[in-house]
Amino acid sequence: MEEKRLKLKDFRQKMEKLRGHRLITISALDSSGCYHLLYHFDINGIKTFKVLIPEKKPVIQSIIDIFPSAEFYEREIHDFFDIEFKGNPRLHEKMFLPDDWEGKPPLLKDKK
Amino acid sequence: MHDYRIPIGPQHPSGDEPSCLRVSLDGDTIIDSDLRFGYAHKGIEKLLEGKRIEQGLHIVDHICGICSVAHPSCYVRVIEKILRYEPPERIKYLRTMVSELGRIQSHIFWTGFMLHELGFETMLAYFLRDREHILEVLEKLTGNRSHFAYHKIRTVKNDVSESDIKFILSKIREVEKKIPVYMKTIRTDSVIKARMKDVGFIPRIESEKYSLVGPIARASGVKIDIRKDDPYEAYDQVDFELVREWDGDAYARMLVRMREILESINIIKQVLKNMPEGKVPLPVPLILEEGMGVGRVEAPRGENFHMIKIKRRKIDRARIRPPTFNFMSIFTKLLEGKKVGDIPVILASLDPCYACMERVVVIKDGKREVLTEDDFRHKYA
Repeated sequence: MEEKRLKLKDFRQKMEKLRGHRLITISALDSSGCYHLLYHFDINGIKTFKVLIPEKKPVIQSIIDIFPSAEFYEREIHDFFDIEFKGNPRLHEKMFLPDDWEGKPPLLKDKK
Repeated sequence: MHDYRIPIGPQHPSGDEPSCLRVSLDGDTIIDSDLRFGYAHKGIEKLLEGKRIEQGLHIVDHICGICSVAHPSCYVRVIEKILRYEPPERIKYLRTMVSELGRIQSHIFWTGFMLHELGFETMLAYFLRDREHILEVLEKLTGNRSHFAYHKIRTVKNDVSESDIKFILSKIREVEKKIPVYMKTIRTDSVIKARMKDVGFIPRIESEKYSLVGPIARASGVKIDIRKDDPYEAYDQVDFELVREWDGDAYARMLVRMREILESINIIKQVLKNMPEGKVPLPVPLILEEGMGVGRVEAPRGENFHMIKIKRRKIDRARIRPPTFNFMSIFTKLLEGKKVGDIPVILASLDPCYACMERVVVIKDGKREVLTEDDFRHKYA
């Protein structure tokens, strides 16, 4: 798997550079102490860009102005991981979970 | 004038799949819309966590009944990529054949239902009759009429014999004879044209901007097909045309799918003709300590993407992005400015498969689900 690590502060800049390529999807992973966000692009095969987000303050900038198809991926990740995407207008309207969902986001790992 | 916000679904006669579409109306014109999913949830991604790799294959096979060739095919591709294993040629050919049979039955099923949405019930009956031929072939090959479970890691479920090949050829010829007749009906019928021409129009530039895949993108003229771009199974050894149309409307999407059925039949014929000799190995237990991989295949509805992370011989995280989830983002945009009567046609022309899309929600017993209809009654009635 081809993977390239991006820094959180360079993230927007790199995404601007990728404008025009096809975004396949965004995957989120729950790791110890941080979340991994994987942005998969179609650039002569699957190229993955990895961003690490701290668990205490899971905020990242949205990319829906560059890749409009990211809207639903970001909303899905917000539903299941509670990661905040700044700039996605419908992020807080639940898409998969029921409106009165309480408790921890379902795809987070049990950490004991 | 008041704006009205009405929920359509999750149970609605015009929708075959459960979703709630909330549209804001000005008179009869849609000014805004949003989608709610979660009514066909199975929790697949959570279920996969902590399972062994062989167990995972069984779960992935049950994501969806229509695309139940595409998901195992993708899963097996990812696992074999992590293992750095190249299957024997015969296995590749057998997999290609079943993948194409799966595509044909999905496209026939969809075309029938598209015409059913237009009120053309007779055609639905004809298409279901022809789909039966393909299902008989798949039943003979795999033992099942849905959830075929044909792809196994490093191997396939079973081999084909000479008599099977004759049976397959006779059945696909039956379908091949019928498709041109239906094409003629579709190309000449004025009702079909009136309801589908210029409806749900996606220009090529929008299609590329929204990262669309599969027949929807190809109907707008985008050159995208994973079978050509990133060949897997035996697709690099067969010769087939990348079917494209240029109009980008619901009608073009229907033509793309109809023509793809003929291309798939062409692929199956080549596969049966050139199938190399060899044995089908038996499945053996798999030892894979750690690894992570991504892979994609061309499902009937477009690119199907899997990401799998393995840790201590178990699946640590699986991410599945079926094609339907990819084009839902453009659906709400397509509706803006359209009439309410066009909603079923636009939705059906995208060929959504919600069973694939809704993999992740977990709803525990005793939790109340807020229905939008109630919501609507309290707020607006």
